[in-house]
Amino acid sequence: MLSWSSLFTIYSILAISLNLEIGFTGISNFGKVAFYGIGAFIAASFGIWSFLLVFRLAYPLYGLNTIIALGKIAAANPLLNVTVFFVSISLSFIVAGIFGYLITYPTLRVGPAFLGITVLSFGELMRIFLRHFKPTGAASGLMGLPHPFAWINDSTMKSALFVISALAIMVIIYSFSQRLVNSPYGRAMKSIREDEIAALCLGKNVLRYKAQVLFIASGFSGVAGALLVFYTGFVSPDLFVTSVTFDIWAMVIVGGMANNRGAILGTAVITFIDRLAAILNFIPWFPLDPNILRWMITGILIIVVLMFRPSGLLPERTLKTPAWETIGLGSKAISTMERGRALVSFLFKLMIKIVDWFKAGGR
Amino acid sequence: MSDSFLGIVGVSKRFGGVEAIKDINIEVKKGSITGLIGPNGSGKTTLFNVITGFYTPDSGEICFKGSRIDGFNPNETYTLGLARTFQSPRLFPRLTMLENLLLAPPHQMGERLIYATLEKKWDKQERAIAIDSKGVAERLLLNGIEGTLTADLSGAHMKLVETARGLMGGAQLLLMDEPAAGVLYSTAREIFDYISLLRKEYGLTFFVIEHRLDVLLDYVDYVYVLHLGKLLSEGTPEEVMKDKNVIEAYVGQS
Repeated sequence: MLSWSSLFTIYSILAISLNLEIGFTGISNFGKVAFYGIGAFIAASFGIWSFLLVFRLAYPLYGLNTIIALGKIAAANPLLNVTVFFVSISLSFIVAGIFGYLITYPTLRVGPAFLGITVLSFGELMRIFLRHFKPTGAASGLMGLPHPFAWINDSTMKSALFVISALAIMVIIYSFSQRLVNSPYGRAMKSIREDEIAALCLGKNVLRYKAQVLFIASGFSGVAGALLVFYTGFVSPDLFVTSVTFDIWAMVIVGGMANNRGAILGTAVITFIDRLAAILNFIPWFPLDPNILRWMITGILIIVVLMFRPSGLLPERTLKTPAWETIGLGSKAISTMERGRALVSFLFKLMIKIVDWFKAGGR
Repeated sequence: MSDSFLGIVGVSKRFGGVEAIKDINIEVKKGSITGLIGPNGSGKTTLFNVITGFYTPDSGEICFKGSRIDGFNPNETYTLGLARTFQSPRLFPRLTMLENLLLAPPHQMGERLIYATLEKKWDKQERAIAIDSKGVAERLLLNGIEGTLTADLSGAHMKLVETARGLMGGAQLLLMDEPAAGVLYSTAREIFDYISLLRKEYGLTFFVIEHRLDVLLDYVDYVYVLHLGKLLSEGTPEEVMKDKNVIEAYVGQS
């Protein structure tokens, strides 16, 4: 349950950010994993290096002693630990965003297919580069990043706290995206998706929009990567293979393009399948390899969804700006603010329930 | 060139070895309907693309309202007040009719990234634009279909929406690429009736490409004829129709 919700949160952020790109702006980003990976590595190296430098420790980057020492420090300094957590997340956002901006800038002038291929190969190149890059631990990756709530002894409580803070970050990202797309900016994004040339003829600076969207979306993927690293405590280049990108694509396709709630729903479905496969792993008499089963189910799901609901489980909706009220249509539209508040209160209640559930001793 | 609104002086554009347009001189007067005709492949659409900034001219100058605009990007020429429509309407199919109109006005606060999430900053402007769009939609008899996706509109409606977009954007000069292509004869006349009506009401200037000479020549003040990338003839409709070169270009040598 906890592992599912952490996974769900991290992938929701990724799905929302991909949705901003492909769903709203029509940028086919097949290199999602690169920015996810950059975020993860920035967070891990910043975390570990800052601990090592602040306390002037001469431990090697990779080793059992380092892990133990860092764990002790983190447990003794809660404030520092949490600061490192948040600073690395913001750093991941900025660095991944800048990478998104830079790497796609020369490719934006070419067609969507070329952009997709370029970014796809960038993701692979980055993984191979990191496998040989010593300061981030090369092929073995980085280990020993302490848990952000390492000073709490109860392990379930620790994970629950992590899930809650990750959820909070996700809610911030979700509401930001919702507000962004339900504005004239979102409308311009959609116009670029529909017809770039026509958008250009209506005075929209298409290149600038694309670069900005890529900055934001890549930054969000970086945040997701940072969360992953704080969740698992270790990071290795081989976590960021291309198939991760296609997982995220599957989530967006199943959930619904250009609908953030759809993206979250899609994430819930796909991560649920993933966890189900993990549970099946424990059943010895199960005739199939659950990992293969997982891919099969995902594939069948995509085909079924595309056949019966081609625009996804939750299809695209018309954006809600005050314009509709003004001309006397769509008075039922609730403002984004109110919807955001409703969602926050709902999530808050959910968190309380989760905490209660753990206090009762789980299951 | 004092009353010239759009002035094109000696503009050429070549694609590899092909000279698409060669040394074109055109002057569009403010408040006029100027026609641009010519057989297929004579470079009419290329000229429009050069004016709106899709192509940079190899030589020559383009002036709009007294300042040079050659070398500008399409989005820059648009904000100066130069809107265009396409041969086949380029709307945003999965957006509603209203959203298509709302996209047109330039300098929207809410289209900047820093203000986009702060609804208070752009709320007022958005509402003003919406009221504008209602007026324009009523003027062009487009009211009642605000919530329809433009993919579901009829061909004639699409053309009107494209024109409405030009009006919404505060354009002063509308470049129309075959506004009456693919519609009935009577509808074509209706469209041109609208064009001359809009010229009176909004004080707009029109520069129109059209293949239907019978319709076009009843409405325009001045016509330019392009043939094989060169300016063949110019004058009032009567003058042009008598020009031997023009007849030759259209129906061949007699």
